[in-house]
Amino acid sequence: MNDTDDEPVCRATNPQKMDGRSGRQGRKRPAIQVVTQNEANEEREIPHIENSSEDDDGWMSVNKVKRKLTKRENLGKMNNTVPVTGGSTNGKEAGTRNGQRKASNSSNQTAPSFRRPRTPAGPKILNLDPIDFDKCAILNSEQELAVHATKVKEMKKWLDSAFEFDSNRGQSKCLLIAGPSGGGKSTAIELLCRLRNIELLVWESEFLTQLEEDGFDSTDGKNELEVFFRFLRRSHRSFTQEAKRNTLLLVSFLPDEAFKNVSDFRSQLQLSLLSARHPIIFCFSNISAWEISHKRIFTKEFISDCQIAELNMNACATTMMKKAIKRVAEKWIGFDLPTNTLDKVVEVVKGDLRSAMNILRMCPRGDRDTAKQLLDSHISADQDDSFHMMGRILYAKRQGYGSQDEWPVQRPPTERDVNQILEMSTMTPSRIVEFLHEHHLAFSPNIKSTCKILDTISAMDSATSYWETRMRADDEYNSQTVARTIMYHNYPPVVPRDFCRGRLYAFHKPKWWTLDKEIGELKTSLRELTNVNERGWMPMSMSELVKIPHFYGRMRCLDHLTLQLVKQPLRPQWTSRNLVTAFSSLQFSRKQSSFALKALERAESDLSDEETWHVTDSEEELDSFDDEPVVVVRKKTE
Amino acid sequence: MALWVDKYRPREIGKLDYNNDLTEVLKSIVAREDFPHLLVYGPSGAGKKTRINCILKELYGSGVERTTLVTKTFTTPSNRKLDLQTVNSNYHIELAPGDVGNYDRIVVQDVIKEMAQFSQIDSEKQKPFKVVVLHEVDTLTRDAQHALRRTMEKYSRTCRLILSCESLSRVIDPLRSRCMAVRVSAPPTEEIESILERVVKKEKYDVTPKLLMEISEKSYGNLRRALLMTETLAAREQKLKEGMTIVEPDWELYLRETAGMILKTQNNETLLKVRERLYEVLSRCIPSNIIFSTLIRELLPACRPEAKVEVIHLAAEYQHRLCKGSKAIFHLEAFVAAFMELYCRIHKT
Repeated sequence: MNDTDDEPVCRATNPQKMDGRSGRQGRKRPAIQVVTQNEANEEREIPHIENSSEDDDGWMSVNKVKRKLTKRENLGKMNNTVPVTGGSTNGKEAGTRNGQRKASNSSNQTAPSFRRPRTPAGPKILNLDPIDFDKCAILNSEQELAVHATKVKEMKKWLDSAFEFDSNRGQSKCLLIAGPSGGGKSTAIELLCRLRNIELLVWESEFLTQLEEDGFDSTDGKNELEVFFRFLRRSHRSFTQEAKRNTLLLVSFLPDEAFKNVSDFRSQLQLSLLSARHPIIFCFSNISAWEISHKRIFTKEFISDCQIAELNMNACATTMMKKAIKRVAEKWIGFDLPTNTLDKVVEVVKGDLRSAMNILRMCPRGDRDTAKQLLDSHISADQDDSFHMMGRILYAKRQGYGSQDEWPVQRPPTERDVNQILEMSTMTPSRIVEFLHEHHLAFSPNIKSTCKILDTISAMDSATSYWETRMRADDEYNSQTVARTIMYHNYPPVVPRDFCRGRLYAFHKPKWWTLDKEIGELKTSLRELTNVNERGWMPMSMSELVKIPHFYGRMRCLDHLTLQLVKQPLRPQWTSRNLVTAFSSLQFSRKQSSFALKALERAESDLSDEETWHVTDSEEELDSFDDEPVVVVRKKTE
Repeated sequence: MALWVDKYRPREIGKLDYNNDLTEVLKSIVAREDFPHLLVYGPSGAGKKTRINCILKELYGSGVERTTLVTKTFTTPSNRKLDLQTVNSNYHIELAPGDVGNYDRIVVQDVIKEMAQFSQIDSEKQKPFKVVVLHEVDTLTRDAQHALRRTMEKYSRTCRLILSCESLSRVIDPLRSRCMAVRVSAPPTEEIESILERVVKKEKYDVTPKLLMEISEKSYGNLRRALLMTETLAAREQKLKEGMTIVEPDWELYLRETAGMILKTQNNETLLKVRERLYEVLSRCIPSNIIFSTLIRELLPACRPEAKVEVIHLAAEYQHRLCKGSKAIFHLEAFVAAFMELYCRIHKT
């Protein structure tokens, strides 16, 4: 029977009869994934449940697994194998998991904490899908890993040294891998172990639910810790034919109890590590919540005390991400993705390979256009979402009150939860704050609220910036505080002035982005002019220097644009230098056509007169809400 | 042709004009065998750089004036290339590492290491150390400052540092304690007047004392600014008469106008306009600290006495945040909004 064609959910092969590699592939996949696949795909549920009732210690009942899920969700983001939402997203890039077995408990084995799941020996159930997504995503060689080559090398080096029996006296047998989630940490470990024929035992906490059912009282959590340390210390002999296969333990999350008494846990862990018989890898994702962060336990001191080797991973690099997506897309969709779609996907997922895979998973097979449409709509939905998110924060609608109502003194609860609003888009927190700063003025009811809001924005900026400590205060704190302040102080909500004039409010990008870039450019070009150190006063006195004739000669080396800018008087409104370029080029062609002359006149009067903002597509005003952020052009009001 | 600012810059310690006590101290430091690390600080235009140059000349003689402009390239661990302009002589190197951003640590360490590796050729006759001059140390990240502290100790035998900055507030304590701090204060108005007079006479212009007084008052203790203003005036007309309008920098007039707007109406619309104007000033690379102080100078006289304390308190608070933060506009605008609110509260009740 050909193992590779197997439906991954229900394996029927017996590992004993197979050679090493397919034997590992034949092993059951994580119970968690089974559940999500069930939810995603109802047809699969029936064979699965049948299966689980057939083979008690091989499969958990759906109920048990669900309980386990909630248990693990309590751990927050600590363990990234927890499926995030719905059925469509599968927590792990599952195909890569084949090389590992799950350690979980079972009543008929010596250690209750983990078990070696036997593959069910029932009749083979036919595949519903000829090939499933995880098969497409599976990696076959080191080159396909989306991890930087030096990191892979370090990992390999450690693996080699950990399994050398003679020379490893002083060598640490424990490795701590940390990095952002979706960076390919565990995938890399699994692949390397598979290639090296190392058996990987993964720590799971599913034993607890089992224990409860067996009558244990696990409320004090002691059992969990005990079981965990036993898992680390015990010798795991392989049941497979190849008795000499090396075994590696992988811990990708810690028991809840560990965080309750950190120092106790540390001392116990140290003892366990000393008497451990197998090399251990701790593999954690960086999470922002300190309470359950691995950094709380694995302090620098502890790491050096226990001689733990350390490896820090980065988020998946863009090029590697592209390569990985391309590879999977080719296999899964069957076509190349268009470049701009690919770029956008990469941008949206922000270095998280797992979420990229989840996006791909939604695409239908063998249909390029639909796939492209789906992906594009997914991405543009994200842009739309950020637009609506801004609106919800700025308007700060209150429950049960329309715009005409009499506003009570006590603020009614907001229509939506702030956390939910902020989770609407994938924008980074500091971007959110920049957008809010750009637009909040039009929505703020009076100068008093404005003052409070700006005070918060300013305080947050100084609290989260680089100088004091390189480790910044958490960015999310920034957006949360600012959004809440705005929602609190925008009361009673006001309608922007533009609305009153029958126009739409123009939603544009924060000008600070362009401005900041231009200041940088200007500084660089001014630096050509002067020696070191004189930069600071140079721009300040530029307006004076222009008036000194012999200095003006020295300024020739400035590029045309900078010179233009320096000579120009300050205007009532800042405009991007791009517009200055347009302005100067218009001046150049002044003599050439009367059209240009008119345009120039308009441009000039624009710069001097009081101006108003128009929305480009103001004819169909309501439609513009559904588009991307509205583009704004300047026009003179008649 | 050089600007007056460069032309009449004193080159030797003996010829320094004001701050005579300080000059004496500097003289004695240079004369001694053991030259400490120096941390020179003071407001802009007070003569920090002039003094540093004088010290260098006193240490090494005129050879130190033969400088070349070299663009150095540094490579970060992530293989990014950084370019930075430095001024080199056989005896010293001068650079402002503040604007390479987060990579300043590498720059600082590399430069000092490189300098320290080569000792002086003729150490019998010359000082046994070279000098690294770092400008604008207050813009260095904390990381870089700590790195500086370590490197400083390590190579102190062959390498001395002269650091310069406007304010000590952003220099970490360990660094301050390792250096001898020298404060260069701004010259008083009378000093500026006499210096201007001397320069104008040498350039053969006629000038009335009243005009000079006016200029020195408008220069706010910044000698460079005073000289530039005088030169601009001279460029326009041969005779410097009384009653000539002194050309103030246009950004200052612009900020004065902005302050007028703030005082006239205090609401969100005005704030939006003010924001645009602040963008415009910032886009000309006017340092945000200067924008702050100019605004306060314009706003303060219009306030009632009981409000003044609070205004200054506000300004200090937001300027401090600006120093720590990264986006200048947030803090400038927050100050303006806070001022508007305060002004409304006190003046309209």
